[in-house]
Amino acid sequence: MKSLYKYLSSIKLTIILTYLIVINTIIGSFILLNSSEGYSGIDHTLLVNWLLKSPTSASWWIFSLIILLFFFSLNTVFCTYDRLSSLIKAWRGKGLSKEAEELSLVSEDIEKKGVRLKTFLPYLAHIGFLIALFGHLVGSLFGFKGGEIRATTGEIVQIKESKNLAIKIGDLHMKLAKEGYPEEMSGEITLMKNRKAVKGKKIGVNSPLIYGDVAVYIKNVQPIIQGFEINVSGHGQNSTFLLSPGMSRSIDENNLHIAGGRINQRYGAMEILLLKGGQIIQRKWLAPSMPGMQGFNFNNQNMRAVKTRITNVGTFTLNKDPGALIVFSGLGLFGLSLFAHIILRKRS
Amino acid sequence: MPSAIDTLSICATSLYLFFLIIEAFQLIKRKNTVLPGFFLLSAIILHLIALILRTWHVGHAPMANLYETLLFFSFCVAFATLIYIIRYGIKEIAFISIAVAIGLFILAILADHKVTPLYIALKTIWFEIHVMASFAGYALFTISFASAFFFLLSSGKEFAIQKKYEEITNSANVWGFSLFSFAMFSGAIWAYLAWGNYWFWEPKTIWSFILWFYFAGIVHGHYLKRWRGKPVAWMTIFGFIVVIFTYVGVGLLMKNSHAL
Repeated sequence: MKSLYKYLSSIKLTIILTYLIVINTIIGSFILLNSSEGYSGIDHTLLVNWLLKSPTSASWWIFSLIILLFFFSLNTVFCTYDRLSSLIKAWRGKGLSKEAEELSLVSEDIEKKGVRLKTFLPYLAHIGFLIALFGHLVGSLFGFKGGEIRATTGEIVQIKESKNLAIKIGDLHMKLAKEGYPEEMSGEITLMKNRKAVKGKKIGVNSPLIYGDVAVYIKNVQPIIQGFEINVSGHGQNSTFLLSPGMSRSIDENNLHIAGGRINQRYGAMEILLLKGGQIIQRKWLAPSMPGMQGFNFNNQNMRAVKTRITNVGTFTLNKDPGALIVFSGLGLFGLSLFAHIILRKRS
Repeated sequence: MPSAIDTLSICATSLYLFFLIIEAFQLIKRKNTVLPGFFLLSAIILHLIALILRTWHVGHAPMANLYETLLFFSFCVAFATLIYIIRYGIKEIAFISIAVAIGLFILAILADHKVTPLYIALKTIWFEIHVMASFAGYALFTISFASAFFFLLSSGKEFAIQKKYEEITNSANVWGFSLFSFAMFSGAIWAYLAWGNYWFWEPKTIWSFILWFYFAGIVHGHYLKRWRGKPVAWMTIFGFIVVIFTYVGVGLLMKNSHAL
């Protein structure tokens, strides 16, 4: 038992596991290269879900990586516990154990100057690494990655993955550069929990709305045709109004209605329906920018599409990751301890 | 502006070359003057001016395409070499590191100089932090590669010299590992803010993970008596291949959504 513990806490095992992880991941990177389509969706779902659904030929190296990382974490826990307890004993003046002396540089330093607080820094870095891995595990088990949400200003969208969450979309903005790529993108978003607004923010790329473990991201903003301004003249009337899909309006005293049908975003056209008594009596496609498709006559009434009304539609995602903060805290502790260790070591 | 940057680049490359020639000459003649140091410093200053002009010209940190990253990487290598020469007084490592810097510089001069507009997600301070830390890490791994090479070459020679090479290798590996860790962590924060994931299963991220673990192994190896010396030196030399593959190999051989 003691020899197993000694082996599990040894740096030799650390190095063996490190290079097994390296070899495993190199093989995996080439598998990923040769069957990249097998990995589509891996970044848009929780790893656990992807692993359960994907074929073994694509996922085996990720499984083995998880197993190796598990043993690596175990080794880090044992090693850190072993060296820390040994250092604390040495700090109290009880001398350094044989196991801790394996770390030649540490033991040389201790022999010269005794145990000081900075001797503990590498182990703080280990603890930081373990915290980050734990955070990743928490996020993988209890979080979710939401699907894409497409919505326009004024809409309230329920989140599929979490029934009590919804987002309300405010103003959307997008500016294209001369070359045609998006230069600026933003959206006013309100996060709602149990139908109550809990946080609002103007979000952009690199600036999500973060509320606890939930984060809302903007992926895209695109201009789309909302509808047309339609002018109807004849029978002593002349009126212009907005017509969008699903909207209808009466245009004479005989219960004749004009309604908006489908929109073809590509050609900038909208289907116009004429209804009488609820029955469609005529269908026409109108497109203000296309000659011959700008208007039509019906029963001495002239209907013309005079202007296209454009609105922005945003694409959003909502993710829940209860482990993110733990991951970043762990990484912060790891980084700070590492830098403090090498800076103080140099000064000595 | 681009022609001024090219002129400065050619001048800096020539000065790096003069530094190497004079340094080699002095080594053979067992002389030690400040002349090569002057050439190295002048080359680094011209190189820095070229980078500043490029920043001015493109309107962002010069790290958005292969040309710019080659220019920046070679600067990091030359600057790290200067620091290590000042700190340890060992100039031999420059024969490899400055040769690498010259090689990168020549590749930069030959590369496409087009101005790459910054994709919207790159317009953040995290982009500069992540890329600068990555290349600083790569540069230090280049220094450790050079000193590991000379450590193995000096096998059987004066102990003090060998010890110094070992010290440089260890120091550059630890600093390189720390800076590369910082690059990985800043990249993770950036990815979380921009795309909602701090990890992506794509070749560049995976190879960065490989590089990070590889050098974590080397850093741990140095703490073991039986690993110190030749095993760590050989691992460091092989590690440089991993560095180069992570930097350019992934982009050339693998479908990759990651920017350089």
